[in-house]
Amino acid sequence: MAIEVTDDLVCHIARLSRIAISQDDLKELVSHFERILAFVGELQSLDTRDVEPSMFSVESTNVDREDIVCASLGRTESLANAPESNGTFFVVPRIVGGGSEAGPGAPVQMEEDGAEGAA
Amino acid sequence: MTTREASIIEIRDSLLAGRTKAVEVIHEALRQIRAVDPQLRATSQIFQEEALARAEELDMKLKKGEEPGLLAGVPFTVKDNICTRTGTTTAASKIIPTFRAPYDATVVLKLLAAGAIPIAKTNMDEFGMGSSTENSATVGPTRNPWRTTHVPGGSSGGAAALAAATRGMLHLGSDTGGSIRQPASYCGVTGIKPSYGRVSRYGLLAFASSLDQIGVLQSSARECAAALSVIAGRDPMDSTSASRAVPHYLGELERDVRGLRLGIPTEYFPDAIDAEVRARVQEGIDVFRRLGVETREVSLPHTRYANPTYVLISAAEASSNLARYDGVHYGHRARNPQGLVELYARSRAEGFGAEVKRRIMVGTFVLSAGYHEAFYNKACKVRKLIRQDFESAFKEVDAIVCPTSPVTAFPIGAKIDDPLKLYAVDILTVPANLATVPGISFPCGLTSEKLPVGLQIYGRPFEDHTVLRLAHAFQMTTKFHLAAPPVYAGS
Repeated sequence: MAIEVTDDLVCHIARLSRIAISQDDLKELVSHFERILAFVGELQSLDTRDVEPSMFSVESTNVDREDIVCASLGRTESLANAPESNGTFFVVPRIVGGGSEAGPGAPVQMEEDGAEGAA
Repeated sequence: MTTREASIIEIRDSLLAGRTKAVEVIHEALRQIRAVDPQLRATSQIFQEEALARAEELDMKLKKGEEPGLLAGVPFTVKDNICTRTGTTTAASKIIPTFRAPYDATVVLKLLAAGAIPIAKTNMDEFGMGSSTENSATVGPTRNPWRTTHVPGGSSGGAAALAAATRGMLHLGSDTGGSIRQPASYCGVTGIKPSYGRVSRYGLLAFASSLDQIGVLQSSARECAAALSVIAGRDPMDSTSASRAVPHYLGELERDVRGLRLGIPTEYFPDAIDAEVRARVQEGIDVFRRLGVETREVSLPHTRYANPTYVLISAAEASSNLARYDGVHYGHRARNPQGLVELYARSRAEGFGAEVKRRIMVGTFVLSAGYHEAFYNKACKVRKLIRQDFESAFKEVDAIVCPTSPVTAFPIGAKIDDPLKLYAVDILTVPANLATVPGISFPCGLTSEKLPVGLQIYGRPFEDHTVLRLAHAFQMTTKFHLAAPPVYAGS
C-alpha cells in the first residue's frame, strides 16, 4: 500500500492522538512517518492471505469469578493525583453550554470533532 | 580484577544465623548506591528512611523468632514504571512527574511479603520507549559502569547499571522488546524476561500489553531464579497471568544440562553483528558444547520481519494505553486551555517526550480507519508466523542460543537523534516478546575495549527453568559474570 505522507495526514493523526503539534513538529513528523512506512514496508511483500492474525498473548478463555464485592479505591485516593478536583469530582473545562467546547487554539488547528476516532 | 559473588541468597541465611542484622544490610546497600549514583545517575529516588524503618521491623520479627520470608532483608530496587506506595512512580515522564500510586504492584507486594525491602527506584527510558536510557525526561541519561561515556542500554538502564556496580540487591525491570536483556548485555549482568503470563503485570504502567513482562536483573542466574520463584505466579488482578504451577527454580538449576539440545538460528548471526560480539558468542556456545549440550542449526525464517512487526504492534498498543494520560485524572495539565480537546492536546504535547509522541502517533495511524488492515492486522499476521517459527524450532531443540544485541554499549549521543538506528539494536530481542517465550541474557566475555558482550538463550513458553538452568551451568564453569566494572562499590 503506497501512502503519500502529507501535512494533512499527519495533522489528522495528531488530532486523533490528541497531541498538539507545532509547524516544526509537523516537518519532523512527516519525515519520521516516511521513514517508518519505508521501514515496515518489508512486511507488505510477505504473503499472509491464509494466516490467522495473532492479537493476544494468552490462549486462556474468560473466567468468571464469584460476584463478591471487593475492596476498591476510595474517592479521596482516586482524586489524590488529579491536577484539579473539587473533592468529589475531577474538574474539567466546561464542555456543555459554555460556548467554548472543543475549540481550536492548539498550534496546529484541531477541528471540532468528537465522533471520529480510531477504527 | 575485582569480582562479585552472588549474594541475595546468602543475605537471608546470614540474618537467620544472626551474623548480620537487616539494618546493617540496608545501610550497606545505601552506602553502595550513594557511592556510585553520582557517576551513574541510575536511581530516580532513594528510600532511606522507609527502608531503614522496614529493616528495624524485620529485625524485631527475627528477634521474636517469626518466619521472616524467603528473601528476608534483601534490598530491592524498582524500575520507575512499576507502582510503589512509597515515593513516586513517573515512568521517567514529565506527564506524571509527581504521581503517587495508590497501591503497590503485585510484584512489589510479593517481594514485601517475602521480607524484601524496597530501597530505590531506577531510571529508564520514558515509558520504556528506548534502548539507551538517554530518553529519561526526569533524571537524564544513566551511564554505563564499564565506561561512563557510554549508555547502559535500555529501557531498564538504571537497574542494569546498578546491578553491575553493586552487589546484594534485587532489581526489578520490565521488558517489552528487550528492555531487560539488552541493558543486561551492555552492563555485563544477568537479566531474564520471563514467559508472557509468568509474572503479574498488575501495577506496571502499560506500554504494550501483549508484549510487556516484568523480570529481574542480577549478577547471576542463581539470583534470578531466587527472585523469580517469589514474583512468579497467578494473580487475580491480571487476567493474563498464567495459573500454571510455579516450578522450583532453584532446585531446577542443579539438574545436569548434558543432552539438552541447543539450537543456533542462522538468521541471528547476520553480517551486521559486530565481529567481537560474534566471536565471544561463538566461544560461549563452545562452553555449552564442553558441558555436553548438543548444538545444531535451526531456522527461524521470519526473523527479519520481527522488528517492523514489533514497531507496529507496540506503537498501536501504546497509543491505546497512553490515552489515559489526559491531564484530567493525574499528571500534567496545560494552563488555560480553551475547551476540553485543547486541554487534552496541549497537556499531552507538553507532558510527553518526542519519542513517546512519535510512537503514539504511529500507533494511532496504524489503528485508524483505512490503514488498520494494511498495517496493524498485517503485523498481527506476521506475528503469528514468527510464533510458528519458534514452535517448529522447539520441536527439534530445547532452547535457542544467539547474541543479545548485535553491538556492545555505544557512546551517549551516538544514536539518540535517529530513532530507526536505535530500533536496530533490538532486532535480536524483540522476537521473544512477539512469541511470548522466555529469554535470558548473561555475560560471555569482554571486547578488546573492555565492554561486556551478552549471550542470549530462548526457551519454550513457561520453560523459564530451562533457560535459567543453562545460564547457571554456564556460570558454574566460567567467571564472566563475576567480573566487576571500573565503577563498582560492592567490595
